Amino acid sequence: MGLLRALGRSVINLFAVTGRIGIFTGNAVFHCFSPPFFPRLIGQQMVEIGFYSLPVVGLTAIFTGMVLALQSFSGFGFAGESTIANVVVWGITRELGPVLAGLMVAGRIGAAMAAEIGTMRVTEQIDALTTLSTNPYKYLVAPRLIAAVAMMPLLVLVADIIGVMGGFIVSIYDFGFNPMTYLRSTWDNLEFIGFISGIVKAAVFGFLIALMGTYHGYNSKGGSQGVGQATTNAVVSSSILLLLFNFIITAIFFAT
Amino acid sequence: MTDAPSQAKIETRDLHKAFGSKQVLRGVNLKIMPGESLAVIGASGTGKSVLIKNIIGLMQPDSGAVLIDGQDVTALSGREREPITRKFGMLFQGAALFDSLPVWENVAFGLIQVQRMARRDAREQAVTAMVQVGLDPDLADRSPAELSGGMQKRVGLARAIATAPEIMFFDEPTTGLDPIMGSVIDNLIIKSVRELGATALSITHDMASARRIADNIAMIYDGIIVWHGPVDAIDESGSEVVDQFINGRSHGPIDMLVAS
Repeated sequence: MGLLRALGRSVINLFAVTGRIGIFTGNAVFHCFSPPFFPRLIGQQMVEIGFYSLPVVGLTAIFTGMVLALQSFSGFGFAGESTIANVVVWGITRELGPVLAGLMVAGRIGAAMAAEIGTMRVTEQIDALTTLSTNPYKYLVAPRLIAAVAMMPLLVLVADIIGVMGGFIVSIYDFGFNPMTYLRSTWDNLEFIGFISGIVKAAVFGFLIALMGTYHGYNSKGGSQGVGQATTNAVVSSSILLLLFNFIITAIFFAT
Repeated sequence: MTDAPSQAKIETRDLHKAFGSKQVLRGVNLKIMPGESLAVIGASGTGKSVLIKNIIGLMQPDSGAVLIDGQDVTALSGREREPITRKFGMLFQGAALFDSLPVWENVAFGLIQVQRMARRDAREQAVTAMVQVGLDPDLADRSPAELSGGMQKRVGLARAIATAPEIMFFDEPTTGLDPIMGSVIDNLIIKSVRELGATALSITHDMASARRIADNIAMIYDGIIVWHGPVDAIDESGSEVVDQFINGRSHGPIDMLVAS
């Protein structure tokens, strides 16, 4: 009986949370498209998300590209330069570029959003916005969503290029491949649909990261401990949703 | 008192609000006339903040109504509420300054975002408001985090008065300040409310402050207003609850649930 009750409670909780996130998402998206807009804030967030994430995303991408080349070399041996170039460019553009960049940005940006907005919540700054006739969804949530959706594809484009470069460096300097041949097989194996699926993923991941960061920050309560909890929840939930949507988008693009 | 037929600036009718099984407001009736300054006093956790949040629209009452200038604003949605919110200015307990913005942009926030004033003009007006509350204009470019608690309260007050609101709300204006700074803030509140000709609603548990800033006092206890009258009459209220509170006695009808 106790087990049943606990099960029931968690199912009800799940529905309640899903409902709350649904309402929040509806509000947030609505305010992205209805004036007034805050171009200055969108710009600030774009710099924060796009520019300042470059180092961490770049490092992640280059090591991933390098390790992909190493692994496929040890797996396929001298099967051929084109195989390794193929594995690297496929792996990076379709999966590892968007997913790893997404996870890094979730840690960096999702956490920062939750902490900042959460602090504003517990210090009544969000209430202050309302008393100054400024809708917090418009002022805090919408600029972050817009900036994240706009910047993530660019970040992933950069990650794709750097990741392929990582594979290239290892192949040329470790395995002694011919640079021209390697680049040509990279180009030949780069397919449009794979690249586009990665960019679509990036935009969706950007949305999820900003949504979870702002949602958990906006609903945080209970002082500094609550803000810490919100930050953790933002990173964990956005990472899990990101992996879930990665599967869904891959299925939509390629499972036919 | 003359019973002028003028309309109440703020009126609450039978406000009820509960959180879970805890009934915080159980029928609050208040009327605040134009130009009046009312202080709502009461012990911590008796629903003062909940009352003010219901009036401002940060919370929805479970039942009852809030009227501003005779208009029922209880059920207004975001966009319909905006013209009402524009009449408000609020000083928060912890000042609630935006720490991502410098001091002047905090003060000018309503001017830039709501009145769409050009940044340069808004800055000028913000500095004027800062001087009004005794702040050095050199602080304009500082971050709020660099200021002391008293300074932050002044910035919060400057932000609240910058848009020339008709109704001012003060949430525990002196909490966390030393008695002298508390008195300074009180005097600034009196001065700015008078200059604006605004109606003021304060919530406080600081009796010295309440006596200074208010014309009338209402005491909230157990979710209802137990006493409401002019400041001068509070010492002869005839209410045991009020007597215990204003004299700060630990024994009496108010049970603080500490050692019982």
